[in-house]
Amino acid sequence: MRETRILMGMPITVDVGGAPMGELIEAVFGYFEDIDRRFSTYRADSEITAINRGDVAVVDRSGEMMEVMAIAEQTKIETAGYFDIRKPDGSLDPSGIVKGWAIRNAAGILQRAGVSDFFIEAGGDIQSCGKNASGLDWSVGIRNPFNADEIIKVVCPRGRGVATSGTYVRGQHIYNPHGIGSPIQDIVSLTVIGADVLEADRFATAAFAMGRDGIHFIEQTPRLEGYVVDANGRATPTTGFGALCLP
Amino acid sequence: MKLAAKGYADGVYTGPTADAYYGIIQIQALVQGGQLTALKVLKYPSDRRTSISINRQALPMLRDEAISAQSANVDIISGATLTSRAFIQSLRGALKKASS
Repeated sequence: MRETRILMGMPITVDVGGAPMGELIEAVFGYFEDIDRRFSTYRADSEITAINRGDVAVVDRSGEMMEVMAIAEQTKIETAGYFDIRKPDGSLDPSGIVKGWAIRNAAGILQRAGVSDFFIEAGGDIQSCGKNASGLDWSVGIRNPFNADEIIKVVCPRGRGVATSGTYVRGQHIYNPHGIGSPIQDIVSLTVIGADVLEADRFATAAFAMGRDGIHFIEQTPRLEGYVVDANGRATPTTGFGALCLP
Repeated sequence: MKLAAKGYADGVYTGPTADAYYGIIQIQALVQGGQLTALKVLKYPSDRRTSISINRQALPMLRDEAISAQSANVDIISGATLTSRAFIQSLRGALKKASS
């Protein structure tokens, strides 16, 4: 059973394999709705918006808000400031961490209910667990950043989390004119596999901001693997990435 | 991205800077014959002042490869969506100028 809904400004898909689990799927989508109500910077009535207005003292923040802020602070330290939820205007936008955190927690809802075979995908970030309805490892295709209809790598995360950060989707009259005629140095897509989707998401975001250095950061960080695609269509995997791919 | 791409005045229009969470994005739109014909990325989150310390000598050389199409027979797809909001925000600003 698989269902996709648009929540938090992105498509979210829940798949529980062959199991008919309508109520559980409702509980998972309901959880994402709760998270959006609390963390959306696009909602006037969210807790994060109230915090940015200065209406909420730090001690009055919800437990969930405190947890997300703590993870954000830890990630900022671990990535030498490349991950920072404080925007130039001084306001806080934790959306870069909320997605992976919410997917991980939603996966916990399914696991606590005894579901062992499922995946949850939100905006291209994925937590899978167990096997698909055919009894095979869940397979994750990495999208070609130059052609949205094409897969350029197939990963079997086997319980790990997968997240991809990138610049923009091509094929919409969009091109990168970053110095026509000069060597292109940009990276356009970075996929990270981590212990869970929260790890994958926060490090994919930070490492992407590091540009060319990002893949080396992933290489030297334990328990992370990555795959970066540059603007020339060349890809660089970390040394352990291939072992997680279908040949 | 659903943006009406017709009926704009010809010219080059620069959008506002928009925060793509890990940096600032700014888009410039080129309108020719009333249609959006090209986009240029003026600002792009690659000019961070902070730098990380990577000990390259302690790392293996990473080989690179050309990307190539694989079987599309997969359960799930991972791709980037991160900057789409900032991108569209800046582009909308540019197109607003083109239509006013």
